Amino acid sequence: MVIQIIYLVIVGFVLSLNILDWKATNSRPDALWSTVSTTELVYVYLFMQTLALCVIFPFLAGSTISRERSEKTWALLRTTSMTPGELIRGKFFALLSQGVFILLISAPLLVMMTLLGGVALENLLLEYLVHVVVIAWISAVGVLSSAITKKGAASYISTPLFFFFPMLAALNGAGFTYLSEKKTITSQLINFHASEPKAFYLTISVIFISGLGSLLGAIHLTSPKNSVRSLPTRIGIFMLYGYAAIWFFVYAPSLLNMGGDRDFLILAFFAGILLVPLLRIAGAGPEVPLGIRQLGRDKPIASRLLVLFTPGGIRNLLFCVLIILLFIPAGMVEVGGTLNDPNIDLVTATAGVDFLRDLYFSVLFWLASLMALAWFLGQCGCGSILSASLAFTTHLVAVLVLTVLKMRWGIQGWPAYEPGLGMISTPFNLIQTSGSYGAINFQRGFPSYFEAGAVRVDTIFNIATFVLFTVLGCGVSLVKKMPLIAVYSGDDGKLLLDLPDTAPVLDDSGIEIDPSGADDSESGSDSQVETSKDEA
Amino acid sequence: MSLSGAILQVRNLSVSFGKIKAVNNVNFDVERGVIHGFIGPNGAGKTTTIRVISTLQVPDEGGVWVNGQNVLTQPDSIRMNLGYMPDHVGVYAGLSVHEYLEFFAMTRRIYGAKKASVIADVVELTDLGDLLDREVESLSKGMRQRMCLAQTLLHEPDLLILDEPASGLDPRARIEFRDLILELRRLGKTVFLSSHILSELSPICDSVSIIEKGRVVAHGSIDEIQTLMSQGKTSFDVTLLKDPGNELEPLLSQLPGFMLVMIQGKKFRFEWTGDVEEVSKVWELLSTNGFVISGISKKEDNLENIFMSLTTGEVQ
Repeated sequence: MVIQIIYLVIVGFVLSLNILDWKATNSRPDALWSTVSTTELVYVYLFMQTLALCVIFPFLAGSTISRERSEKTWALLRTTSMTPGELIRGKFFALLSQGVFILLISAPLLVMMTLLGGVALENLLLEYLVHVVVIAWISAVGVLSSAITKKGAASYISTPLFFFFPMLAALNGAGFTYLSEKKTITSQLINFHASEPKAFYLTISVIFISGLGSLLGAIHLTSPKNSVRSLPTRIGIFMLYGYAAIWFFVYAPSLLNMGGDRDFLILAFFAGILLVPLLRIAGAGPEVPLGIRQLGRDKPIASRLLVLFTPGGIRNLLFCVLIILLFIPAGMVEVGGTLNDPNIDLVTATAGVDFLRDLYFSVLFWLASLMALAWFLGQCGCGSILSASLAFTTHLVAVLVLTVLKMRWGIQGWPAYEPGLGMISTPFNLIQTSGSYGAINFQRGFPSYFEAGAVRVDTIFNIATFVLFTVLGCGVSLVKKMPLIAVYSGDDGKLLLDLPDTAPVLDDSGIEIDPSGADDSESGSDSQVETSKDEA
Repeated sequence: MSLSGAILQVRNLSVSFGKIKAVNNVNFDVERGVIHGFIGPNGAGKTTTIRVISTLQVPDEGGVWVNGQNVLTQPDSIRMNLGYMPDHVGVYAGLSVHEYLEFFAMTRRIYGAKKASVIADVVELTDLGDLLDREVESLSKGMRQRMCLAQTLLHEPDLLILDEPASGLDPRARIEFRDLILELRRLGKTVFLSSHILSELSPICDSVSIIEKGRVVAHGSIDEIQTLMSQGKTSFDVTLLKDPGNELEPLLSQLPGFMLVMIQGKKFRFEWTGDVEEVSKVWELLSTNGFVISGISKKEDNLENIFMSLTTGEVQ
């Protein structure tokens, strides 16, 4: 109802402006009103529509599941026959249909405007399609945000945090396009496609991947912890990254050839999309979900075939490494454009290609090193979020401290942390470098950055730390007597899979039922308690 | 499959929230076709246990089987055969009662003619006929409870899990709800309901489990628990025609199994250990010695007495 009122206000506002404008510019007796002002008003309306979508929809989407929880309907839904996938799909399409409904409210008015000239109907329809895509993306990410937060109040805080920067960027872009350029987003996208088709497809695919990934993440979060559903979810994550890797493989030569900031931007981007989700996967708990254990017991061959996609033990790390490996072929691609450029001599061009490729591998191995640290922390008992945060923060602080030490006091013996060179290993620096000329100038202060083979030293360091943390994690696993690779070890722990033969046991008086007869309130393993807390 | 005739089997069940052990090594069975009361003070672990049974909560230890299926490994199958009613009935604003039931029928994958048929059946059973067009938000608590019970019955489950169904209902609604539960038992359903309103459970429950501080302190039929609690002793209150003075205790103490508990004027209470049939020896001895009995009553432990005896009222 509130949304409808807001939209009616917007429609009324646009209509009023039209009438006022018609009265003011009634210098054309042959036209009902000025086609120029009609066009502008449509753009104003489209901007306001974008504004409303960006402000209202994150809150609608971000509270979709948490509202069910707070209104006590979520438990009822979860005991029905609906799977988590169906629930999330239903939430997503419900939000999408609300969005389309909102768009349709204003559609008649705008379509009528096309009769007056200035705006083509097909352009308007395409613009509406763009807005539908925006709604779909916000809905997908919002459902994920809502699935993450357990309480309604938290969701209202987390939703703006989720959307603040993307929405700010979207509104900035929409305002520039509609109000300053007086163009539609569709026309800007067409221009983008014409000038940089590969980057265009990359952008589109990223929107698609992030939206689909959000929905998969929401399904995973709403699935029972002990469910076997984590297996298809990991396969889905692998396929999404595989898709991204293929795109990167196809367009790597041209992307790496764009020079300047773009090299770092692309690397930072891939570091970003790999870093956050994979750190959480690597740092997840070492326990094997019960459903997976049951699969290992009942279908050992299938379980072995899918071993890398099953959670728990060292598989959490191996899965992340597998995904990182997907991106290696892209780094192997020849940078043909640079080599064929007649203005650059072959030696310089080859050196540039070598440098970029080394840089690329350095970033990938840096990611692997961080994954190993997160995995080690996960083995130690930290939760996935804590492990990911600690791993990233530790690495970032270490790099910065050691770089400062090197710069200030010229301390030798930090092969991996050459000034500038070590900084490459942080996405913070990559983003900063790509985003500001000042950062590039800052970086140029370190001559060793461009020294031949310097980046390879960084790679060696990252490989070494990867091995170190992997070995340490294995050691922790041995000490804690946790299975590293086994999916089903014949021991179901204290969770009973099969009904024991024993009937309920009464004590001597026949009243109290307690077979163990002991208060083992401290006996629950940490991993099992963790599982329970997540579900609670 | 189930190893016994029990529809619900709980074994070594433990659930913790941080350092608090909400459910601690709980064991019990519920037989098919009975009304089973799950009794305990607030914070005893009733709702946590119910959430595990209803596939909403993963335990830390142990297991729960419904119809021989494990809630951990076969939750989807269990949900097909289980109706769950939470302690607070959530409703979707803007829906009518009929739309609410239609929605939940579809979440149970019931469509078309079958949907209309099962909705008609549950509406008749729960007496919701006059409320079908009412908005769910406008319903009273009792009506909402009936509506929620109706949605739990849509897929014709064998086992109904009702968490505090009588909580917050007025006396009339409670009686109506109790009659409804008895009707469900007559239809062959097994009803597992938690409550702390013992007077509601006592007349309808075939068996009970009493839980306190996460542990089951008693389980069985009310008669069984009474017998177990009394440890073979039966209490009788006797009223004589005139005050026996000090003569009573020396006279009756010679009978094996007799123990005088209390004497007050013409009334006295004693405990009889052994076969209740042999308590007639007391009456005979009294008559032989000139005492005229004007009244005898066997002292019954009702559910409230049992509950108060077994629980301390402490919470975790």
